Amino acid sequence: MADLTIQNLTKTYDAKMAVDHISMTIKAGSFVAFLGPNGAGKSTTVGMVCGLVAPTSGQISLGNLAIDSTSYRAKLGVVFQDSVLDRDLTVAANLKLRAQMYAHIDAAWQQQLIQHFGLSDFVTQKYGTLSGGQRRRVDIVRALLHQPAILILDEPSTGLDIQTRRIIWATLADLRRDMGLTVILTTHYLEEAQSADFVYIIDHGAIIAADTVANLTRQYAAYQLKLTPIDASKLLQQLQAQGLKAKSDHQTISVAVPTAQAALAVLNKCQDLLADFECRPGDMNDIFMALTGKAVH
Amino acid sequence: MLAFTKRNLTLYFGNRATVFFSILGALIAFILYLVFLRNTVISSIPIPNVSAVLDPWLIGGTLTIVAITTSQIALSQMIMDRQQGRLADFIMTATPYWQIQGAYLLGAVLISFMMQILVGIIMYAYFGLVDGIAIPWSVLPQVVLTALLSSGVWTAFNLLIFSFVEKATTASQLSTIVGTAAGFFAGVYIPIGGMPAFAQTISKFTPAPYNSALFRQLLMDPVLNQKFSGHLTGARATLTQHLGVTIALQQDLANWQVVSVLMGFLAVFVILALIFSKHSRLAAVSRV
Repeated sequence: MADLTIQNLTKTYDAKMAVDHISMTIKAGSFVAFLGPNGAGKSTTVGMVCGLVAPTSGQISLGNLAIDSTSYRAKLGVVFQDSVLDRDLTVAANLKLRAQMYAHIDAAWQQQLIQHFGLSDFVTQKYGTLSGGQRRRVDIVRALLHQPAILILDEPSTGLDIQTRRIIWATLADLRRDMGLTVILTTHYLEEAQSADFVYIIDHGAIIAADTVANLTRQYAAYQLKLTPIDASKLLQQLQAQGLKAKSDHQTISVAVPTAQAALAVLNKCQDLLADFECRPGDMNDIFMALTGKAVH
Repeated sequence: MLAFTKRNLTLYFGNRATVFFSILGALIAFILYLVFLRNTVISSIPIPNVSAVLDPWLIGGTLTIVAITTSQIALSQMIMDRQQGRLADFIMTATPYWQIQGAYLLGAVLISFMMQILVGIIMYAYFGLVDGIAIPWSVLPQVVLTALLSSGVWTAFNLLIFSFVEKATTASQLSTIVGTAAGFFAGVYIPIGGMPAFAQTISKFTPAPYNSALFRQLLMDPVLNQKFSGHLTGARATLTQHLGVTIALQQDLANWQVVSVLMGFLAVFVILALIFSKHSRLAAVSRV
């Protein structure tokens, strides 16, 4: 399977630049995440990759397939941000209709998907009567019906409970392993991007960082130490003596350190001055803060 | 494409409110006529047992309104799909865009056709009970063909005006306007002969009066033959012109000429809709 290549992709609406010269190569079989706040240009990029939005300039290619060809679209499965199935039809009727709109759908595969995503209990129910989580699972099954090479999920977890999210991600991980599925995820949920092989952080239509989660964490997301002092002023002095920038906040003092080892060293040195402490590794939110100076939300 | 057409039909007929209001929307012209206008029209026509003439006249006009309004309601599914992003999902399938559009059209034609038959049956049942008129079985095949032709014409018309509509609310506002105007253009509320000359001219630029005329020629022919025999042909011509059973463009149009005019409208609407289809495709997908 060929890689998906995006070169200098740009989209302007009137004076507004929604997507600003984005370039990337998404390796077949990889899991990449587009992370950014609402309005960053993620969905517009997805729309262009799907061939639904005409780019102002730039190229998208998947091997030698032209973006407006049926064979290109057949390689893509899309879970749109809003549910796109008919609320008044049953799950089975919805899936049947979509299946009929493709040239050949493997019935056994369809059954397998229904089992995998646990739809069996409600296939005869009307789509509109399902819960948000059930609907999302149906949406994903619909997107995978024609065995696409690339699955695009546009903000799939918005409003879903943690249990449903786990089922979805566990099942998708199985599918990636079994069929070498490429997954492109757009999200503003940081923990969701956490498991991606590669993350593109997008803000104001441009890629502001692109790396593996591990590298981004190392570079931008320090360990966060939250210390509850016995004697606040002494502790601050002690920390400053170690060359650390401390931030005092009500009862606690926060310090960022580059590694777990460094955190241990600080804790050891200040042991006598501490009543309590918390330590957590840096997450995508810290990365986003470090890059843009603002939180994701 | 057939699967997609079936989906559109299922959604339309599966939604009881849609079907109910489609029928009511059509029958409202019929009811309003019976309640408010019938006596005025009757008193303007000095012939005995006038309801035998006016009942099929009203049915012919109402069927035209049905064709206009139901094809529009059926096509508004396309606007909803577009607005709610479903069209984007359909476009992602292996089904080509022209087939998706074709399926919307085929669905609208079928829905409009079936609703004309249904409303026709309801009206004949009513007048059969009240005035004792009978369904003119001899012309039934022609009536069915006319219903099919008018479905086609009005579906193409609505496709054309919907080429410029992106929002479902705009579509429903348009429906109100078209639905109200339809009763006048089809010559149901006021016989075309009772309209000012200017209004007559305007309405002749739409397919509505021709459509009504075609239905009326078929449905009223048996009773008019009975009432106006031999020396009364002059009186018959005056009446049919007044009621919009025949339409005059320089001279009275023959049955086949009315059919040709409707076919002409169909062709023009289809060509214009195709010209604007590029725009409508962009509107279809740029919502992402």
